[in-house]
Amino acid sequence: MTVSLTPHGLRVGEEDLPLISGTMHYWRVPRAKWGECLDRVAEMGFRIVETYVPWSVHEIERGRFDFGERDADKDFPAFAGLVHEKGLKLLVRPGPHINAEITYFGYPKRLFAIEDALARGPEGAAVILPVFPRMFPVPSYASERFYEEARLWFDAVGPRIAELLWPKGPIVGVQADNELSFFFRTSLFDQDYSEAALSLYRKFAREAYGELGEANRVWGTDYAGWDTVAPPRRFEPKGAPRLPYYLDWAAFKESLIRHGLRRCAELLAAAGVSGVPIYHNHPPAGTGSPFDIATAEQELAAVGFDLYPTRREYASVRRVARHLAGASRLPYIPEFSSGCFPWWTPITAADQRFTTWVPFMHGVRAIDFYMIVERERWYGSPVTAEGRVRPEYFELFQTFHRVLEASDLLRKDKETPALVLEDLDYDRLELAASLVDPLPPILLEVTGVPEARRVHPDALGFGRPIQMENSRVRLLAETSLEAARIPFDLAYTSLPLERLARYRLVVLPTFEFLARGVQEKLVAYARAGGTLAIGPRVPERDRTGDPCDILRYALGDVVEGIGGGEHRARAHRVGEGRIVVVTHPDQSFAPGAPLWEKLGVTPPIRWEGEGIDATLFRGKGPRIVMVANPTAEARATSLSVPGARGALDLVARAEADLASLKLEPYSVRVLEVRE
Amino acid sequence: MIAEDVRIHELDPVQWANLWALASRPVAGRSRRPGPRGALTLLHDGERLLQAFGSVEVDPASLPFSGVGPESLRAVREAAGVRRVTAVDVRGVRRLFDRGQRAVRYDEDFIRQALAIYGAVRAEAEAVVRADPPRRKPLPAIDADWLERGARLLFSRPQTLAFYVFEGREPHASLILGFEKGDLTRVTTHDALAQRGFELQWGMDDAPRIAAEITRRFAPLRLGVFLTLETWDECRRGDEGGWLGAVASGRIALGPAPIPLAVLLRLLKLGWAVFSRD
Repeated sequence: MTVSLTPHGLRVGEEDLPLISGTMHYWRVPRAKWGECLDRVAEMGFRIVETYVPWSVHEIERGRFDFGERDADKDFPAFAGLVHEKGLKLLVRPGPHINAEITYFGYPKRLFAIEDALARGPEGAAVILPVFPRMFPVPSYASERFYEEARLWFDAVGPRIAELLWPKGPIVGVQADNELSFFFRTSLFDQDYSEAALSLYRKFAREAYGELGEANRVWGTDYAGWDTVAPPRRFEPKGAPRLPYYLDWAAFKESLIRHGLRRCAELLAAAGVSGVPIYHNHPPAGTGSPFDIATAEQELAAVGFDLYPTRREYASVRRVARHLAGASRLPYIPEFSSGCFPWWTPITAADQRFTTWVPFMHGVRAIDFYMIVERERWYGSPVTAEGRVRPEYFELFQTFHRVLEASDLLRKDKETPALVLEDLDYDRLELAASLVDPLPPILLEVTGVPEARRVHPDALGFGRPIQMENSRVRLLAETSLEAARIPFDLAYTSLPLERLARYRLVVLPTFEFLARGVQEKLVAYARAGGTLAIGPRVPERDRTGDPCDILRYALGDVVEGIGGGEHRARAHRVGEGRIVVVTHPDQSFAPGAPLWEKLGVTPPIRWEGEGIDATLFRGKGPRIVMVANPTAEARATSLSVPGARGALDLVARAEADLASLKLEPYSVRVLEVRE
Repeated sequence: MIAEDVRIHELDPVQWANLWALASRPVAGRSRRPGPRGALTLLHDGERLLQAFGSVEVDPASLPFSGVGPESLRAVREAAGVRRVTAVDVRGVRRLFDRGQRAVRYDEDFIRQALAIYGAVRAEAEAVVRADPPRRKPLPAIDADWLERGARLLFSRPQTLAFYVFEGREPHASLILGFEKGDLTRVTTHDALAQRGFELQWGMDDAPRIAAEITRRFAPLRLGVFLTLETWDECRRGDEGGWLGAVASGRIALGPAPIPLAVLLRLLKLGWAVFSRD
């Protein structure tokens, strides 16, 4: 009897259980109030509770831990026992990193004195995380010295978790570490240059190239031995090393995250934790290198993104949800704001009434509401640490669970004909060419600096600067699909072929180079009957710079020119499918251009008016339509759902007129279609 | 100055959001400075302008950038039609980062850590970041020891500070800070009182009761600042003598106030009464 993940949630023995949970930190709630709080959580409709188990809170001194022997509030096994008694399930996150707004993020302070356990910047300085109320040097997840210390913790907490795994106890999932991502500092040349990381980098390069001569040839370097190989410390657009030298360092950093996840999962397994899904959460830092969900899910059961949005951030929530829907086997948000920490943009009930629905509208299937029970350094949860209810929030979650059950949304599929891909190497190039490295991309996102304005403007020997053009062309394609009301998901080119095959249309901005494996995969997708739109350039080289014209070679006869004059896109027959070369994206992706219609990709539903968004879900039972008004003004729309005779608003529990649908500012309506 | 385990609890979500938004609340009738608005950030490598972004969309190639001299930046500002231009030398960003993080000691107070970074990068930041209009004075040195001594002197015993902005009878925004041995140890809002049965009756006039309750619940209130949202907006507009006028006329209630401040307050009120007569 084990617990596993399905595309809809958890499979616990013979039972399907939606992966919808809420977080409560037992050690931050008086033990006498645990029961009351859990009762309130269950009353809202939650069947799963989630908690961190923090290293620093339980460690008394190196290798000695308090699990309730000294401080009753720290009795994790008793808390888990109570969860079990209440008929709830439990997800646990034993770190070693937890953040949780705890000073030092859950690491014992003594760790920072171990020099060879710390991450290093390019000049050798320890990497400092500038957080309130104490800045601290971050550990290196390449360092075995760090894992030696972490093992002491896992050896203590692991057996306690193992004892409480389902069916003996309530635990149905365990998270490996938390937001493992260079601590938000994801700039390419910021870290990790520790000896441990450099050693792993050389191993990575050796595995990639085999012979040093080959690495030197591709990189444009002249290293005499593997032990002298060093990664780039800054981007030199006119320097001797060639582009792959930088792209490989970015690829290595992605692999370093996976290495950390693997090591944490190994330590958990060695401590007896098995038979439940091991999962992970990337930080709310936006998608892009070093976050590659499809590849990370080769190591773990599921990997998601955390999100803390206000109601004005509809577009970014939608973007992350689309990315999860495209890239993950279970689109999961392991932390979604239920309240907020005090030093972030304030999030209120008015925000949550809107944002809570948005991820589901765009394909998310699993979520944890963080925090469902309030604690210090947090506000705006539906239940306080004393077990008191905040009615506005409490009722929101009761409604949420009622509607989720009534709609059976998690078992239905969002109708999504298209997938917009982004090539990982182009994304790595954007990261390498950042002009403000080491300023973290997340900081630049928050301050609203456009991607194309943060990067070096040199063309680097290409027709146009790919690091600027890539995001621009991709956004043109996305805007064009949105204007045509065609739903789409997002993913990186690391997505396996069988996942690409779920979509009728795949769009990928392409330039002079593209990895050989990616070219082969795309051709296989088209040959099997898919429609692939690429451009503005058809790649002629591999990522190493070597000639590689797999895509160009696959192009058969032109079967159709789409659009007018010299700007027309050209559709080529390829096997059972076709490849469309969009040489002039500004024209072909312009709103109102006929590209998608000519390709036979049509919207599943249509609506009138601007500023509205809608998605359609199909499955067993009635179809569900979710309609959002992400603006500050009330809107009205007319919705055309083929075959619909009416609709029931599941939130308001009232009939809805699809021909004249009113939407309050920042609202989502969940409609059950009367067939 | 900030305790390692500073307790931040019972923040009322709406009051907390309002507190953040107080300074940016749109105030009807507030006069704006004349002239262009907005700002532009330039990224350059000492010779070449590489990128530009900000409140206006401009093509970097169209800007009359000829270095980081005052004339060049002024010309860029005028061409872009913005109030301020900031030019960042991208070659210096890494150096600033490196110096800053080398200055941090993990077991030090947060403000000390922040000041250590500031001290380490202050001189170089002047060269890496240039602006037009230029700063009139160089960035000042700040002595962390002096600050810490000041904090210990002011908050030697357990005590609290409170700030309330009322909208009718309810707090629109509130903040209660607790101190011990010179350290900030607690951050909370009125919710911490309300959840334990303390009820407001009159709004602003409840100030003495609030002060007594904070003293009873946490520690003696050293300074409480109470005003209405209307007064807040008036002060931001500069009406009725602005902030000073509001304090002197009692529309901003300071109570209790430490003795030196109370003396100043009486003098201010006296002066206001004399000079504000028609």
